[in-house]
Amino acid sequence: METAILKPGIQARLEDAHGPGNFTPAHNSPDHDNIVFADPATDYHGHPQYGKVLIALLALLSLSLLAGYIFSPGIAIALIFATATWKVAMVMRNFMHLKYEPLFVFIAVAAVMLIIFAFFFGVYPDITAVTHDVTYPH
Amino acid sequence: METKQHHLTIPVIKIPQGRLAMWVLIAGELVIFGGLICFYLLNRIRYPHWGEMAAHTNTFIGALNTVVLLLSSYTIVRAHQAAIKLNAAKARLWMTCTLLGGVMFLVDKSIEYAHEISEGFTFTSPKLVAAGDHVGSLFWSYYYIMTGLHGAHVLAGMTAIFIVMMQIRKGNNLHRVELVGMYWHMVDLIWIFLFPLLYIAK
Repeated sequence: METAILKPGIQARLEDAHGPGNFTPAHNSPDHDNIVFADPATDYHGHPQYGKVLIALLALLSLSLLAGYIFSPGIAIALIFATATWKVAMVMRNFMHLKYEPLFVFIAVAAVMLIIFAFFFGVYPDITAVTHDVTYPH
Repeated sequence: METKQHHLTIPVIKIPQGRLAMWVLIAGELVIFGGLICFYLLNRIRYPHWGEMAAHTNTFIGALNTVVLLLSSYTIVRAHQAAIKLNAAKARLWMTCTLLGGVMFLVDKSIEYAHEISEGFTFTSPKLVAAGDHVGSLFWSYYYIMTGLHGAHVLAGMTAIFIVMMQIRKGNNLHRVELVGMYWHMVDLIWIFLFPLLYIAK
């Protein structure tokens, strides 16, 4: 049976009043504010090593800053955006706990990214293939 | 006995309502900033002169802001960890650290804006326009729109974090720490992409 996590003491009080059992106070119940978290049995939540993730993020930032000094411009640009993408993925998976969410959440976020990619390539010829100067009114 | 109420978790998709709502909000915000970033990239390809304009941005302040936002993402997720352990005082402490990070970000941004405006690089950059450099003026318009909109989101995130800090004083609604944390991580994500576009790729 699904249950919520209640504040300390509330479970005991409810059991005194209603007998042994699991309680999820209704929205209009005075005990509603005593709910701390949703049902842990169905709430997917692991905890990665946040400190290690932070160190990795800072290391990737350092790499992207140094890339311009070490590599040729083309390689540096590719490396900079690759590290940015990697950092975004790390923040989403670990800090935002996306890797613990149901698959449909990941699909929703991926769909947004695909839409943005499609938009970019769809508009690409309109912006880059125009020959006249579009910034100056004719 | 009130055992049949499932108002916090939607049983079919098995995710708390608040978290689902935050993911929907985040998806919408990613579309907004994704569109802006797309147009920036397209114009950057169209006008190589934008690289010369980008050289006037301050990479040091941009990198500092990136570090600040990464650290503040760490502190807000630690606040969430404390909230799960029902430690409201510790959660508030970590959230205060996050707010300080937000303040530092906005202060850095203000210093940067002041310097760029003093050099004549404003939203419309009339000096560039007068000199016939409409392409350069367009870069600065994009710059201020993208960073300004991001800064507004930072301010909104700080406001939300402060409100939740006040709400969890008595140990109630601790689940909201995670929700504001998700919004703050989104703000960090956007900056992770803005920083190389505007500050490194010169």
